[in-house]
Amino acid sequence: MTAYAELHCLTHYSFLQAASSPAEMVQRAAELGYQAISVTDECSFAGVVKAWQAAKAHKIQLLVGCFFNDPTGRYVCLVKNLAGYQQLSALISHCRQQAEKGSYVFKPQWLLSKPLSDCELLWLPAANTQTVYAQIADIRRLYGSRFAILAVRDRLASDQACARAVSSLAAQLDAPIAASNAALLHSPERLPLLHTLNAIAANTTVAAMESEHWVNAERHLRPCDQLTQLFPLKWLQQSALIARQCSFDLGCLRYQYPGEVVPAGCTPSNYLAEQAQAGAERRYPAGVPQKVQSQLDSELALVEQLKYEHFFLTIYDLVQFAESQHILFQGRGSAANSVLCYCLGITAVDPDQSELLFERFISKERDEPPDIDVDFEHQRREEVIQYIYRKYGRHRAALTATVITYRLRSAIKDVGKALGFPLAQLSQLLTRLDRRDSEDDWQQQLDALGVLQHPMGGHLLQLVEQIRGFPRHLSQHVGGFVIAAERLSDLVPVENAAMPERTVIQWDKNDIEALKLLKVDVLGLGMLSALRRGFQWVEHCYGRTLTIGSIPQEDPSVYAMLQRADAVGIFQVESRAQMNMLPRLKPKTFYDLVVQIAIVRPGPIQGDMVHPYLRRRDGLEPEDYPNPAVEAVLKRTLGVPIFQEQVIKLAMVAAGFSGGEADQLRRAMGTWKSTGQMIEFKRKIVSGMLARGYDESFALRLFEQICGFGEYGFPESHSASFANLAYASAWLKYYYPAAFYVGLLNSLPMGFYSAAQLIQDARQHQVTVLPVCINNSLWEHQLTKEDESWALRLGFCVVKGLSKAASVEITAARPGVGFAKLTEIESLAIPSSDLQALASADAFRGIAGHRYQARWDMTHLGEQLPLLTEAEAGQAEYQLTEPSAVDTMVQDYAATGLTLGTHPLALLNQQGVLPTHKRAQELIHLRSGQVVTVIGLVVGRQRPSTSTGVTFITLEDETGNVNVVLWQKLGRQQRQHWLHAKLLQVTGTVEIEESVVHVVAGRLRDISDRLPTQAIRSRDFH
Amino acid sequence: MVVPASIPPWAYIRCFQLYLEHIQRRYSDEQPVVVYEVTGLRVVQANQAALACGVEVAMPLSDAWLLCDNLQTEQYDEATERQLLADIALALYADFAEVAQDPEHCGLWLRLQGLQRLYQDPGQVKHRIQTHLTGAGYQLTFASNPRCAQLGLDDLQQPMADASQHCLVINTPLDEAVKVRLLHMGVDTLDKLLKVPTTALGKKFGAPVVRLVAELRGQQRLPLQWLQPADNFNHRVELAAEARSWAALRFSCKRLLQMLQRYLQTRQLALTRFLIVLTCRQGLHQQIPIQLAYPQTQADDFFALLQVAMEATKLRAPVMYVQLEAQHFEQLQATSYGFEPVTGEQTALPALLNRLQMKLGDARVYGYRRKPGWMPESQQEQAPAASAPGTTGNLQAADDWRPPWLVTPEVVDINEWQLHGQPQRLQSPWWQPRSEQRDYMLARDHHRRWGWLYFLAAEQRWYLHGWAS
Repeated sequence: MTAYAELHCLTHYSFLQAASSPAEMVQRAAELGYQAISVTDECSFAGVVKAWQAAKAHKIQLLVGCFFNDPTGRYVCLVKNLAGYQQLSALISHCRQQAEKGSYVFKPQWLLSKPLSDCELLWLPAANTQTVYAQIADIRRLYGSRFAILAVRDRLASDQACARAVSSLAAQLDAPIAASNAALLHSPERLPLLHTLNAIAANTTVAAMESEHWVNAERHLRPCDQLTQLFPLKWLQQSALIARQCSFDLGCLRYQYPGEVVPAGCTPSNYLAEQAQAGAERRYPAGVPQKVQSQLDSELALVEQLKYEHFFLTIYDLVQFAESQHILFQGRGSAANSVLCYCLGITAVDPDQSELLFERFISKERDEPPDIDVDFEHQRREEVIQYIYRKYGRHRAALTATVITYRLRSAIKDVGKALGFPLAQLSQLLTRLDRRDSEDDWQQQLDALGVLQHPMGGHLLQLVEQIRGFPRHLSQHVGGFVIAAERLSDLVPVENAAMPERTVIQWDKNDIEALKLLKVDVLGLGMLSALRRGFQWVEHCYGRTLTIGSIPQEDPSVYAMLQRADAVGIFQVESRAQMNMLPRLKPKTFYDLVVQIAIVRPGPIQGDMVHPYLRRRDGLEPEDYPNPAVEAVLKRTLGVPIFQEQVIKLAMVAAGFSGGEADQLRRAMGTWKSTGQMIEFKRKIVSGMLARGYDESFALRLFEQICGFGEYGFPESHSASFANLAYASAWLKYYYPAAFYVGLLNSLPMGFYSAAQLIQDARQHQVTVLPVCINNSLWEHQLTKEDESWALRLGFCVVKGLSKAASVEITAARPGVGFAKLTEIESLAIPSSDLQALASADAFRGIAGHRYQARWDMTHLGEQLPLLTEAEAGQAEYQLTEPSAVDTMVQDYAATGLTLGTHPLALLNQQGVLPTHKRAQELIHLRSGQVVTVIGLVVGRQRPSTSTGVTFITLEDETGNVNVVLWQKLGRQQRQHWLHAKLLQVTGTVEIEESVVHVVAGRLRDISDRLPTQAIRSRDFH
Repeated sequence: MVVPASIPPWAYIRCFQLYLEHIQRRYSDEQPVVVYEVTGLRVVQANQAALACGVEVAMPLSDAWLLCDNLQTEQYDEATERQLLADIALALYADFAEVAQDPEHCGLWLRLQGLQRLYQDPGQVKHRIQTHLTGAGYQLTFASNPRCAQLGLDDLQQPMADASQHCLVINTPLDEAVKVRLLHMGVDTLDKLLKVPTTALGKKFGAPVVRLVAELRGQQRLPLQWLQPADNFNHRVELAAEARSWAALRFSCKRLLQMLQRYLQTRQLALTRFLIVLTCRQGLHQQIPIQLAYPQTQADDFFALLQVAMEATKLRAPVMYVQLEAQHFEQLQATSYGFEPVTGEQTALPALLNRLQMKLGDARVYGYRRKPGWMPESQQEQAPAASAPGTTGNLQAADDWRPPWLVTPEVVDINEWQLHGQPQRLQSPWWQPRSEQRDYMLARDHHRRWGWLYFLAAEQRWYLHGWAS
């Protein structure tokens, strides 16, 4: 067989230009017996890591490269060695950084001016090129034996002319010719997908661009015997010869940690040990417990052995910076399993108080860099990011990429458009497609909706299936930074992100993991912002300095509040499902809170672990352990596995898994539905447990529970980190509610609740809320002294349409005694839209009367002649009628999204426009099973994936919230009543269990027309 | 003695969902139907069945679908609705000489002041209007001035202050920004607006609001564009279902011809030729010119001639729309006409081709033209002789060679041919019913003729597809 190497191959990382993945290309090339396969995407290395992994698996040489398009033709660069890789990566970075995100600039003269001495250059001349242009001759001379002309044959009428032209050019340049498929497909069957992708890229339909399509599927990886018919032997041999010049292997990339985190004169391990020990002594002033000390020593030894010291010190440096700037932070995820992280101040979970599993964090067998996620205050995360850029320089730090891939809905939308489906029909399909309706899969649903009646219906189903998972474009990771010791572009090309002043590498987190690059996750968390602000107000108003660590622990009053499900605004336990669980689980200790957070998750719910746990907790069911080893693992959670660590430990103690194997099990759990990897583990678990004397039913039950966990189970360490913040926020809410709400409101958007709902809750907790006032408000909400107590004064930020700049100007110009007249504010030259927004929010009430009058007074036609102004003086004075209570409410909602006046329901009740109904507060006093009618504003509609089609609707009246349960069948029958209702009447049966009250809906009625405003908004299906 | 009520000076007819009513006849009354606008995909008109399902006007179309499982949707066609309104205006013109259109609000003004002799009371006016608007949902308002009438404000039956209480500022023709500002001051109804001193309104809002107030008070006249019937007749009707034969077109053609007759009679005109244009769903047109020996005015006469022409015509595709165009009229005179001499125009090429087509039939008079596509047969298109280019010489570019004459592919014995050159591989579009891969080659037969052959791998056979010479 003729030796052949594919020198130019595009993958789907040349977005919308090719229709096969890197792995498919590599695998097919191996099957065809190619000597080597290249991955040469357009100005990109985005697909090379996946290709490299596939090449290792299929034992074929991978050529790394890319191509650049120019009017003179296409230039394909292949790297010969590490130096060539670094040169080409730098050129890609340069081209990308000259252009906006997603595009690049390329000039052929850069092939002369930029160092590419360790790259092969292949020129694919533009169509109809007959003679060489001047620059290509220079390029040819510079590259010498590293230059060749690429010849492609597509079995078209033009092939002969092209071949003649290539031969002529080669003769003129005295350059060799290499054959290539210039592959866009790994197999010809992908041609329809290629046409579809091209149509998507051109924003047209496949039929409309018929004359521009590839007319056959020849751009695939063709068998060698076909190639020998198409190309002269010499051209094929040339491809193999060029491939032999390239010896680069991606595995030879060696990541170097940034060195400056270790002070001069110290070794990394000594410095890390020193800092950890100092931290341990700060954490345990009464002496480091022996268990902790020995764990710390063993972790330090493992870290030294795996050479991860720089990684820990880099994170340590970041958190130290945050601490110095008083930015709240907390490490979470598997890092919370580490005593070392706790001692360095990265995490806050005391390892002495929990059973943490270090293997979950670092495992020698896994040989992967540890993953430390650190949350910072979301409104100040940018300060940390800028610190990274400052410290390491933009050439050494960039964000990780996230590959945005086609999901079902985006696939249907784009493919449907490309196939010529009318937009309205696609909209209908997408609306009716219920991803959570498990009765039918999406293909059956589309079939039921009549898709197959469309001539392209069958193609739509097939192509959507093929395109799912295809990359659409690169985006930036939420906060994953890669920091290099030297230039980052030596490792991976860097390109511009959509956000200004941000750069992003071309690899995603999986690529980084595969190449063992260090990633530092700098994430944002709203609750940290809220807590820091809350603590500041406590200090300001009450003179008490607080930190998360200094909050008194295990306060029974705080737990009593949680047991009452009084949890609006409290971190992680404020959702409807969590609030329903609180009175059942009745948390009394911190560990209960850890369990509470982990148990209301799809994993434990689908694994049927919730009810056994609650029954055992209430003493209704005995704990049951097959042996002491299992008991040791599950004792803390009453024999029910709730945390990921327990699953891993069970696999270790019951089935004999090693720590690394157990971690592989954890990873497989996350993707078992799509990859089917769990079959292998099932065999291993069951046989391992049988061999250790467990009965088969116990083994199978355990396996089912593991599968139920899926990717949604929480690790205990993660849950413990969250519980820490949950307790802190609960404590603040209980003891300093005004400070708690002001912190929360100033940190919006975050959490589950809108400002209106939080203010409603604040007032129910006796917090006085004062309206926006031109003379008293600042941009942010604040606490102000009002009758010897602290009241919450709404800030200008709540005013819709008001710019922050205008607010700052007003507060800067505001006299000490406040403005006396509207004209004083008008003279500030603030845009009239800002003034109108303030008038709408009734902010001028103190100086100009009601909002109608303020708006009237502020309305002017514009500049007038002075004489006319004088002549007309007084003519426009007119007193408008004050708005009614209903109008006030309507205007409040329109201007600020909330009202401090009478609750809409109370107002409607006063007017007598609502039928007889029970209030939220009255429900608890009813008999369970009693038929009841409730009415409320719809403040939330949720349909969790675990609820098998049940919809939870939350109604709000003037006394509180009503939880409505709507079963799937009824929901479908009556969806016109509830789907868009703002005011809903529900008749159903009340169910009361452990002080948890639900109304199970029987009949629903949309009575939104009785509501005088449509500005009330609900939070739907989040 | 009962004193008959005098007729009011102005009437305004607002049609609610003219387009929906137009398309509704395709569906049963029980079928929920909505009309949506394509840019925002929102419902603009909905029938009773859809409203009963909870669908509302201005709702996103996706929500309407969720509410109604068997919802039928039609895209709003503003041009058609305007045409429908114009048709109504034209019909009303026969009874009310002063008709003005308000297409923005799908309404019509009728000035009734000069019609006291024709109509003694409002009931007669209502009755007359009703005869033209059978089946259409509309609101009729009588008022003292056109603005009040347009806003549905009947100031004749009750005092202005009372009538304007329920009339919303949001429905006035003021700029949206002005309306929002008025609403923000609590001025949400016209009675509140009218209470504000005009000087103050002028100072705050300028001329448009002052003008509106003056129009409402009858102090200023609304400028209206009075209907001036067009000089030509051009009407199109949409068929309830696609017509595949002349029989299915008769009713619609008769309707159009009756409209034409009315048009001619009201203007005392006659004509000697008109054109029927049949349009199919894909937009293809088929034209049937009707030529008369002497001017005519009667629908029946026109129909008799049309019938003769149609029976000799084969419909090329199912017809969705029928259009009647008439431009050249003659004054109706009591003159007898002889045979006109044949003019030079009639001997022109198109006329010759038409005559040939009539003589030989459509299929036998044609030319070829090139169209985009990659399969040879889809790159050439047989076209009516008049629209095809004069030659076929430009049918191929250098890189994309095609023989000038394609034939219906026929199986050949490859042993009788000598292959030349390299194969050209073409794969037919996969979205077409029969997708296949062909390898084309030039070949010469025993008679040294160059043929264009392809090998069909699926059948392992060679086909002749064209001649190169």
